[in-house]
Amino acid sequence: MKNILNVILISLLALLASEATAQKKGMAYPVAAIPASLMEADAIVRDYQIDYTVKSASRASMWEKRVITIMNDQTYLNGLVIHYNSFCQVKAITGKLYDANGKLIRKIDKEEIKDYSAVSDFSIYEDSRVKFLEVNYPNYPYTVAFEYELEYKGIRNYPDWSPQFDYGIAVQNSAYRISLGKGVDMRHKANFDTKPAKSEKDGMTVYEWTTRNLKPIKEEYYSPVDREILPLLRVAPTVFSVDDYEGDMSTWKSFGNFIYKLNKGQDVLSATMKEKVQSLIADAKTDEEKIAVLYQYLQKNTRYVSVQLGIGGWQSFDAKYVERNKYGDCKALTWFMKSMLQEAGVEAYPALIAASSKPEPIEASYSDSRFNHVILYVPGDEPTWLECTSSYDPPGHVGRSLANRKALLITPEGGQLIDTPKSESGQNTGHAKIEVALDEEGTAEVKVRSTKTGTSQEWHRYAGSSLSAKELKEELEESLSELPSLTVTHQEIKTDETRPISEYHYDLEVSKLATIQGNRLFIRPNVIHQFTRVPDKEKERKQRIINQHPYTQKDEVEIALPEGYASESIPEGVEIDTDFGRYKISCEMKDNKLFYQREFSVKNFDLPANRYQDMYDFYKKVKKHDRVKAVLVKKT
Amino acid sequence: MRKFLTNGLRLVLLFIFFQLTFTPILEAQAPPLIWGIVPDDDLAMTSYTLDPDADKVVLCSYGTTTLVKREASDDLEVVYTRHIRIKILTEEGAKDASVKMSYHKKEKIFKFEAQTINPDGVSKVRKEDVFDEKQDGGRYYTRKFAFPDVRVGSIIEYKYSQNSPFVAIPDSWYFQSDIPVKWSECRFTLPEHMEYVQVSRVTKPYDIKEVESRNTRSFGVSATETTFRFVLKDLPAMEEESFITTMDDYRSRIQFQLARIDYPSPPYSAGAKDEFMTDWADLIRRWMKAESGGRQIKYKANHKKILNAAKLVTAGITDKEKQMEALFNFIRDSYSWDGNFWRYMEEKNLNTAFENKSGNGTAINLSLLACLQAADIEVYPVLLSTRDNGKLQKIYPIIQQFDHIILLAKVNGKEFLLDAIDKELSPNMIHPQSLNKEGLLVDEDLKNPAWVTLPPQASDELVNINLKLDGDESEAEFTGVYNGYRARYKRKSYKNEKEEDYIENRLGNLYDFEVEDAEFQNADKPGKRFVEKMTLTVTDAVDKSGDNIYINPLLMEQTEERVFSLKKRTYPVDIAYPYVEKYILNFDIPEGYEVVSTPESIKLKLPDGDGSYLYLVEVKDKRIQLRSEERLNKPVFQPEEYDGLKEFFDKIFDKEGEQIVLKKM
Repeated sequence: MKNILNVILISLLALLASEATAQKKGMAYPVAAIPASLMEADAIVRDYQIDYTVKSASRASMWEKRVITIMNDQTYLNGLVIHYNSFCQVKAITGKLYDANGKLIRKIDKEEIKDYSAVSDFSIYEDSRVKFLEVNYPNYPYTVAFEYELEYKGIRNYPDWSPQFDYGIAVQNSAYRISLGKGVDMRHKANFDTKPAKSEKDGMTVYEWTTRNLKPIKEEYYSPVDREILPLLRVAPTVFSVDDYEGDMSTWKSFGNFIYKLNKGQDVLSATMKEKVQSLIADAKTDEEKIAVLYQYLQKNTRYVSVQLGIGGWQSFDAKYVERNKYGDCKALTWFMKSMLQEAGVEAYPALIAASSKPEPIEASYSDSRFNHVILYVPGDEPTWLECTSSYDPPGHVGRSLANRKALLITPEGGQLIDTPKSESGQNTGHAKIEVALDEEGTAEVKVRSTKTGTSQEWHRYAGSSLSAKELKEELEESLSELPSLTVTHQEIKTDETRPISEYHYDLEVSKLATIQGNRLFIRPNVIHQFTRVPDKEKERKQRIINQHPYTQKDEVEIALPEGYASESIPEGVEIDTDFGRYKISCEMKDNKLFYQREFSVKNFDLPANRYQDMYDFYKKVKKHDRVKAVLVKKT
Repeated sequence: MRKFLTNGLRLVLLFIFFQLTFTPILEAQAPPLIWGIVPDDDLAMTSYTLDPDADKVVLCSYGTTTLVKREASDDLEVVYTRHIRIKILTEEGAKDASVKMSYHKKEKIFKFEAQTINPDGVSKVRKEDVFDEKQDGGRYYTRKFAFPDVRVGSIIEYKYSQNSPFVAIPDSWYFQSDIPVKWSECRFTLPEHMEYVQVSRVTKPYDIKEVESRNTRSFGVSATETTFRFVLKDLPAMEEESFITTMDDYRSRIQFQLARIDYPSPPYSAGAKDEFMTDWADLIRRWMKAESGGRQIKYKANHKKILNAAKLVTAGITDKEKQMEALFNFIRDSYSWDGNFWRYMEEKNLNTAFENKSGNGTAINLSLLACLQAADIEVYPVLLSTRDNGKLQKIYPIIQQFDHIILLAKVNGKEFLLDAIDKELSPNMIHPQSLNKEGLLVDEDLKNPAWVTLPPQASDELVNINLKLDGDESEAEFTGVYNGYRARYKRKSYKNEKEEDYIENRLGNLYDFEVEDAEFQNADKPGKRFVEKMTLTVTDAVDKSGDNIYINPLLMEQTEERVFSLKKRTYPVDIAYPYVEKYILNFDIPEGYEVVSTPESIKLKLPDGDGSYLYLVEVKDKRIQLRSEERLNKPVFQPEEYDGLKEFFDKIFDKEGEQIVLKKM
């Protein structure tokens, strides 16, 4: 024990000494001062400080400093991206570049700072912008130091603290301070072990969190969402004010209340539109029918165009804007749909949601503004969820980026957390009947008749409504690039109007589907659905393994062989049932035909890290069995 | 085996017209469309006959470009007008009925209008729904707007005028779009004292080209004004492609560049003129005079600090070629390329770039040039157009088409092309972006232009596997040797990944293997061959079934997907550089087994010696040997060659799936 202490002490002293000599020589942040245990990283955060001062519910300022040693070209941390908008202005940006010894190479020139619009592809206009600065140097490692200030004239949230930035990054030293003036407060939640020190300074209450020596974390497949893995401190206001709108984020209820008030009165339809709604629902008997007919009207008559200005990130354009332009963003279209349903006597509530491939953690005990999207919730014995920006989803379909997570209902009584439906492999299915007729040369006519449901048919619905016949054909040609050269002779997608069911039919002519070699014929009986996405090998898995996109695919293949062949080697029956999924194939030869059956399902799972190898083995086996060929010999 | 090919796939094209004969006409032609007045046929149209799949069609796209000399001032000005009308044919077409247009802060947009026309009425785009967004620190703006009430069957149209002070190179007119175009018309008007060069890059001859003259006042005197009219009809949609900059190269367009102004006398003094474009020698002189071009190498003060730093680099080296190599490595490793190409450098001078350790391609290569000159090595800049920037035209001396500079050095009677912008480059191996056929030699002593060909370095790979069956497992010795651009590619991925990840990705997941031993050579030596040697234990190299053993002789080198899956291709295939890929398998037949069937040996050839494939199986003594060799001898294949190329690769794919069968004796 004593020895260990000594070692620590000595290395600490060495560290201090090297820092000290460095300082003396006018050097800063030499690489030699980084503890060896942190060196295996793409970048090392030497010093990262956030100072956030909240003067009132609507005024705040932030100072940030980050000093980062760049080890290779696999990181973006040699660049600085600052988001700003009409509520938040950037002041004084400085940048410095040091070499590995800590010698100052240069200061960054103002002209190197670029200014861009931060408008996402799907948005036509937003007032959010970015300042961008990037420092490059040919000799690794080198160190960049950035400092800047932000001035807020309106508060929507408080900055979070993510000292590690990303996977592969080590942290030597970082701190987050928040100073609160009179009348403001904050709430916080950390996903790692950290406690703030509280003090009083200049009449403000100051909370400070610090952390040191964090080792880099490796990015892994099938892992939980980043925000659960990388150290993160979330900080949120209680009362806040933006554009003269005051809100309280203390609870989900109060935050929902703010959003409700902000959008109150935006749901008034014109007299003409009211008449239109009445005529549309004239023949509808049940609420379900009303919902379906109005949703279809929305889908056929409006389109998604995103415009976000000022408070517009939270406040919807009014229903008349949608009536006039026949377009709107997710908020405008959702509130418009809500208005139509209201006219039809059906109560519905907008639900704020974080759309993403992996659900983000949202807890009842901690409310903040994590959401990036809004959908509509219609309560009932069987509640209906409506994605109002989709022109092709059937009413009630909850897509993979929305399922399995918490959403915030906006009701007159305030906000209320609610779960969206969980996706199950039994709902997301594919069932294909595949008929193959082989000739003597190995050329085949292939007929595929398949029915897809749930998330498995999302693509088909999109393709059926959005792709031209030519694009559809090219998509199919590209998706079948594992087959030999082929021609698509027929292709058809049919979608059910009100349920998430699609049929996908196509015919192919494949030259050399079978290889004839002397008197042998080789063919892979799993003709169409080959599994190829085996995850990477991971020797030291750290994170839990998770899948939330379950599905089942069932194939029945019937291959009519040319005359006179007998089996030499056909795929053996396989049945694998694991916690990750199920795989079952069988193959038999009868009346000059090869019958092949395959069922592959991927389950919903959340398992400990030590099961990774089992999962890898499972997928690997599936890929392997999927490729097995049948060998047939011509009878002489 | 063709993992490279899909990375390098690019498209290329086509005709360039320079000298056009025009039909003179006497009367001014009316514009091809009038605001708000839509023929009934267009409103009733439900699909576009020439492209029944189209989601939208441009009914008419009409633009004028007029050069104006204002009476009141000395300023010249371009005035553009644009009027675009589009028919919406499907729901998909209605979805993205919005426009983004970019303009410079010194340009002014006026008389802007936009509207949607439906059978039951017209909806205008309201002022508050039009946004002008700052770009690039306020140098540019983007105007954005979405059309209201767009349905299947709607017609959307917008028009505007725009003033611009940039008279030297007015905006090009693009006839073609990513949706089909029924009628595209451009009119170009200029006063008699100004001369412009016109370059058309079009896929077919103009349907109409006319010229008309009228009297006006210009440069303070009465003068003739001439209008050129260009019309192309029925243009197909441009296929969508991710490399949008290159796609511009294939889009039918007309470009203009100011050549000269002859000022009338009076009011100007006799013989007053401004030359903007004369010949290649003049272009070279101008580039050499430019502050961020030739002046950087002409004046020592601009690059003195580099020479000071480079002083010791060649110490003790007497051979000129070795000196060149040392200086090349020195400059290459002193810089971090910022990823940009431009025919001028962006820093104040070479000293600053060198001290910042960062610069664009020109800054880096000019730094090298300064060093080589100081070492008495004969060296010239070579102006070129990178692949993304498009093809060169060699008729008119237009500087704007160039976007990069490399060097040509002549040492010991040999020529070297030098491009020191990234760590994987070496003398005579230039960046793949620079492999664009030819460049212009910058030599002020030459009267006529000299064009330097930019040949790719020979690129090849040889993979050798020796496989031995040992009980249920096999032992495989895997060796890969790579040269030229193949070595560059391999070296890059090796350096960017951890060694064990590199090996996993290199060998794929078709087989289960353990790596017993791995060795890599020359990972840090650009210009040298890259070598990988691995010893593997493979558990499933062969399939045993009953008395039989089946084995795919390509093992981990078999292709899992066809390279060309699409039936048709509209644009040429560009693989950047020719290559040779060789593969050899030596497989020891296990004791007690005999060979019953092997894949047939074949030989494939592309026409004109453009490529070949050889697959040769031999059984000798107790060993099976497979040798295959795939060769492509040219970098670009035209669309009419696509079928042949696809068939070639499809056959290789089929061959690579075939198996060897062994049977227990």
